[in-house]
Amino acid sequence: MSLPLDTSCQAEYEDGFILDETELNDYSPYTTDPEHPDNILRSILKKHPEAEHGKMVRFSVFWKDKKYDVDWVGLPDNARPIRFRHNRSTRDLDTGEIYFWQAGVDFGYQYTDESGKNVQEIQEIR
Amino acid sequence: MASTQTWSEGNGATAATVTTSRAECNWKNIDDSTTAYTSSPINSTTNSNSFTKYQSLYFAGTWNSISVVTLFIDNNAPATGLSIVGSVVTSGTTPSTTASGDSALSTTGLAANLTTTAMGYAAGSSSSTASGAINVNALRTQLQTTSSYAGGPGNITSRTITCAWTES
Repeated sequence: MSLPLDTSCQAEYEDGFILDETELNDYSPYTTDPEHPDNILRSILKKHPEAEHGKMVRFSVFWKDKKYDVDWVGLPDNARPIRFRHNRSTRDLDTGEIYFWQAGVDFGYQYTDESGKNVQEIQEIR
Repeated sequence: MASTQTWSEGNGATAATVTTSRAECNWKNIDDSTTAYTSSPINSTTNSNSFTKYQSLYFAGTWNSISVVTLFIDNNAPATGLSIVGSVVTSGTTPSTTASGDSALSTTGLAANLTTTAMGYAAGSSSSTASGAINVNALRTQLQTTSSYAGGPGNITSRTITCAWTES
């Protein structure tokens, strides 16, 4: 199993099944249209694994060899994972070389409560 | 399954002739993305400027969202008498050595939008949820010399420009 890449995500479901972005090279096994494949985060957002594996119980992201978890048990059904990568593309104007790098990741959850209020908790990981 | 990026340069009339992934992207005394800067150096003895340079980041691939796009340089004052100016633009002007009128290029980040128009030459929108292909508004830059510049044509410390964005 590959070491999860920085900013990558992972979801665990009730029966222990884990959907791991790095391990699957970000190609969702739940893709129905190979011409337009889903990525892993999109499959998590669309709850693709839940019909077979039960509800999501954990949502995680990785950054610099650490795993950050959201315990999904107890969150309402309409809760959605949040994962924003802070990406950078730097161009050296002397050589033309391009460097892709990441400055961090924001992750957490968001949902609308019964009164219509937006509830979200986001952690900025740098 | 995330976005991929390439940098493009716009040259010629209205800076609309696009080339990608060029190794030669120095500021110089010619409007192209091929001539070595050593063959067309800026005429510093007459306090000339470089030709304006238009560059844009192009996204391809798959993403859920791209937003909060900014552009910046690592250092806009490479030597006494030299200044690097620039701005985010939504259209191109034929590159020239005439002072662009831009302020010193930001070292912290200029906001830019996303558009399907080549080189980002359109107002665009601040975020994209449609995977496939999209351009960041172009960054126009120019290396300007002033009367206090004592150096001759040659190298300055290499500079970098960065495009930053959030992606889900």
